[in-house]
Amino acid sequence: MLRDIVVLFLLACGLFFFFVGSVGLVRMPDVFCRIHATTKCDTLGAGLILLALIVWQGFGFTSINIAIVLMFIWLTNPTACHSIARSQYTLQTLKNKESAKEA
Amino acid sequence: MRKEHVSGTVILFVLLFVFWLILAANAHWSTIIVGLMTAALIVFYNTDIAFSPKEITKIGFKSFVALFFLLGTLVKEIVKANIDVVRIVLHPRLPINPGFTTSRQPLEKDVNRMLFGNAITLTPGTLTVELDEKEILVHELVRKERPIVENSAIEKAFIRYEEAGR
Repeated sequence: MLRDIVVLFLLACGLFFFFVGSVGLVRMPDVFCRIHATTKCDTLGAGLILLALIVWQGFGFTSINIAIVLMFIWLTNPTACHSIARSQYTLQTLKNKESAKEA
Repeated sequence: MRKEHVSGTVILFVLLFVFWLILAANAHWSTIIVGLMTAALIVFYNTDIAFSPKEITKIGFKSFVALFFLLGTLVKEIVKANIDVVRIVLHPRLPINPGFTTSRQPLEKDVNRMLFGNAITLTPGTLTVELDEKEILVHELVRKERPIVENSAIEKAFIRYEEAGR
């Protein structure tokens, strides 16, 4: 019973963070700001939901597996976002250079 | 196999083997033998891309303590960053003032730099755009007078971690 409550609470918090991430994706003005909203909320949202899974399952080998999944999410998520941000930055500087040349 | 790659190779082997054991979730002798063989094969075919001492911090008691401290700081900063973003996104007027800042990049080892860049992305209000030997280019959601990365808790934790491995 207590476990159910804890799991529900963690799931609700995780869902809330994912929801805020999605709202941020829509509301923010440009690419970089959108990345801000999605990276941060995804990491904690996924973390809380996986934590809920660990609590639900009980501690054991499965929870170590879930912790590894979480570690990979925390490693790949910022990497992907860095890649997107960097390509956008390169594109922007390239465009600025071209427009400066034309003017 | 060159000599400077030996410690990195051992680390890679141990990591792969422990990973295998966790995934297999039993300690039957056949599992262990298959795991040892697979890990050895993978390490053998990847010696040239294994970690070299130039890239990673030395493993020891001190650097382990520093690593735990670093992970604690990181989790704290992630929670803070999320609350920050929630506050900004749900604010009716969207109080942002985005812009780029550069600040110094204090680390020497490649793997630490990679982790540092990732950690900066996960800490409040900052996003790593570019990172090289000396400088780090960061996009900030709400600009302050000074770069947020400078003297932040996460930067201090990383410097401490690298010093511990000397």
